[in-house]
Amino acid sequence: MTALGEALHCEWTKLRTVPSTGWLLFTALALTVGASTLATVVEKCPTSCGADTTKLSLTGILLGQAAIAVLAVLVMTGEYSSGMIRTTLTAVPRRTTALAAKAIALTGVVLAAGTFAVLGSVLAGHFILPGNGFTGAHGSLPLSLGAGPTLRAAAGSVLYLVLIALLSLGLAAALRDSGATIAVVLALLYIVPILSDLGTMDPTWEHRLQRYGPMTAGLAIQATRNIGKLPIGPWAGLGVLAAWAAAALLAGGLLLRLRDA
Amino acid sequence: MPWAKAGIIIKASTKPGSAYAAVMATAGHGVRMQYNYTHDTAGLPGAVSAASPRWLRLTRSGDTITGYDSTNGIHWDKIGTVSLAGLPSTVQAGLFATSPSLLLTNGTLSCRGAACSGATRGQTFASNTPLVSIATQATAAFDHVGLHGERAGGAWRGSQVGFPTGIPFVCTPSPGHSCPKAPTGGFKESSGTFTVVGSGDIAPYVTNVDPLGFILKGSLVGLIAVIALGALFITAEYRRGMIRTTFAASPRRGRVLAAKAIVIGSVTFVAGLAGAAVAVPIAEHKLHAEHWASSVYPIWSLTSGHGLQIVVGTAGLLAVAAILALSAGAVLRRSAGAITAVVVLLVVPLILGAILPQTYADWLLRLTPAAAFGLQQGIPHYSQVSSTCEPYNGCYPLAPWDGFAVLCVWAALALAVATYLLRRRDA
Repeated sequence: MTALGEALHCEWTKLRTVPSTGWLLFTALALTVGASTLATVVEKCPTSCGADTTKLSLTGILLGQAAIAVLAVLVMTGEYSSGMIRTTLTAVPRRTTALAAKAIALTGVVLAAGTFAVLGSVLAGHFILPGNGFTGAHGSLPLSLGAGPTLRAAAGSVLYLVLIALLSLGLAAALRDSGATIAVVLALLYIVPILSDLGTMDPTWEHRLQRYGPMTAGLAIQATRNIGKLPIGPWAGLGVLAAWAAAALLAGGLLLRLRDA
Repeated sequence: MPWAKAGIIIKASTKPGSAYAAVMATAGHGVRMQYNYTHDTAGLPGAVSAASPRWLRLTRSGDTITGYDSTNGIHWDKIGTVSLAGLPSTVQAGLFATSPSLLLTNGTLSCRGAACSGATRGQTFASNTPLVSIATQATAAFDHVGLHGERAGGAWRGSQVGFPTGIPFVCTPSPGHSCPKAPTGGFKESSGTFTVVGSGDIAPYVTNVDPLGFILKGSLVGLIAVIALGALFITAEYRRGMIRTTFAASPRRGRVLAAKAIVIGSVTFVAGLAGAAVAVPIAEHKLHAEHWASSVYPIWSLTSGHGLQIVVGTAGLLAVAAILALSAGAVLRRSAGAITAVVVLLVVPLILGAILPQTYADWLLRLTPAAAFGLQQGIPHYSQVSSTCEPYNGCYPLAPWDGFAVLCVWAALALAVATYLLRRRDA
């Protein structure tokens, strides 16, 4: 086996056997599907027929991402708090390999859990929305992954969760403390969209923050209506989030190499 | 329009902003007595119609005006007595009818049913229209109109007060949608019955932009730091095993948690107080420099009632959030989980509140601890004034201190659960 393969095996074993992994993935799944279902239940067509039904049925990603971020942060900082990181780095002395193995194991787990969460949400939307008046007569077809934009939004939401996990992992490698890292991640995710809601006060900055904030840009992938009017296009938005994740991983990897563990 | 009003008024002059007292029947909130724009007292409840009319009476004695209402004109109930300081000896008195503009936001994009006036019924708006204001009209019939005391003679005269030079007409035009024209009112008399038609409102001008409230959203960054601090105050002890030393030194665990809550609450309160007391004047100085300051966007001194509410409220918000985070830390014993749980409870409703339909968004912002952010509104909101109420413009469904009470209830419950678990579990 190659060094990366062995490191990957280690990381997979650790991720699989830590009790928090199961709990956090379950929480992410439950929050995503639960919140998505609630959002579709409360939206009724006579008042908001123009709603983007795909985006609506993926609302739960907003909440589910928090649990995914916690999982990703703990993959790194959990080892720092228990001292396990020294064992890990003794076994895998090439630190970038260790970080890459963590990133790959995490990506696999989040891809799987994210797929279930997104499928659950889309399924809920598929069955609930027509009952709320979102019917063909009002110009909305039943939600189906057969439709190109919906498939892109659903697959993109899974990728979104993966990128959030990688962003959190990179920051965790740089900051090394659970509390500090999760606070920074949550501030980046949730505070930027609130602060960017400037409305008529400063449209220029509103546009900028929505284009470059990790959450607002990344979630552009969920839009299937009025795409021309979005601050940033779906794939470009996901690209911005990918740049955030890459920058965080790069910074984390560099600091991991340079510092004592 | 639930706050369409018709009634009798005594006003220092017909200039916008002059002192007044009025009793009125409203479309959806029964009889009210209102004075000087921001004060509102409820009278007889129930809808008013031709079959079920109301008698209204105002009496003046010096600066004191008393309002009465009655269902039969024989038995009168006093609604309230108000003192209008410096009311001139000669005043304007008369009948009025008003109906506030209908404000449509993204959530309510089509205007249907009773909420719309005839001219706009069925009108729909493009989904990218941020905010539309549609003028509505109220028509009221008055009979048995009587006036006792000296008067300047002549018959009753009808006139438009306020429009169009007074209060700005709230409308945000967008491409393809022009603002509706200012509406016209009317007045006519036939055999002792007066019919008055009017639009607009006798109320403070509430804007849909809250620059100071927006700037204070910056405190959310501090809030997340405070939440992390509160949670780490106990989870760090669990991680290092220090908690066993703490409980060995002080075996009464409830007391330990209470002491921690007092310490973290006091520290974050003082820090929040200092932060807000510095931030608010700086923000207001900047708003003043950029010409926001006006009667619509007032500058609050730190000692004024509203200024104090913002500063003390921000500090209280941080302190109670820290105690909530401490309790979550004691329950979950993990930093990341505790911090995330509190942030999701406290901050995410602000995001969801802008996405969900208004009714559900309102419930979310009533029930979650996010209700407390109402303390940071830069412009006071009044329940008797129709305006779009969204977190975006600093308006929350609960009154500011009621919202703060919701946060306190959450913190108290979390503290109780934490105390219970701390006693039951091994450390």
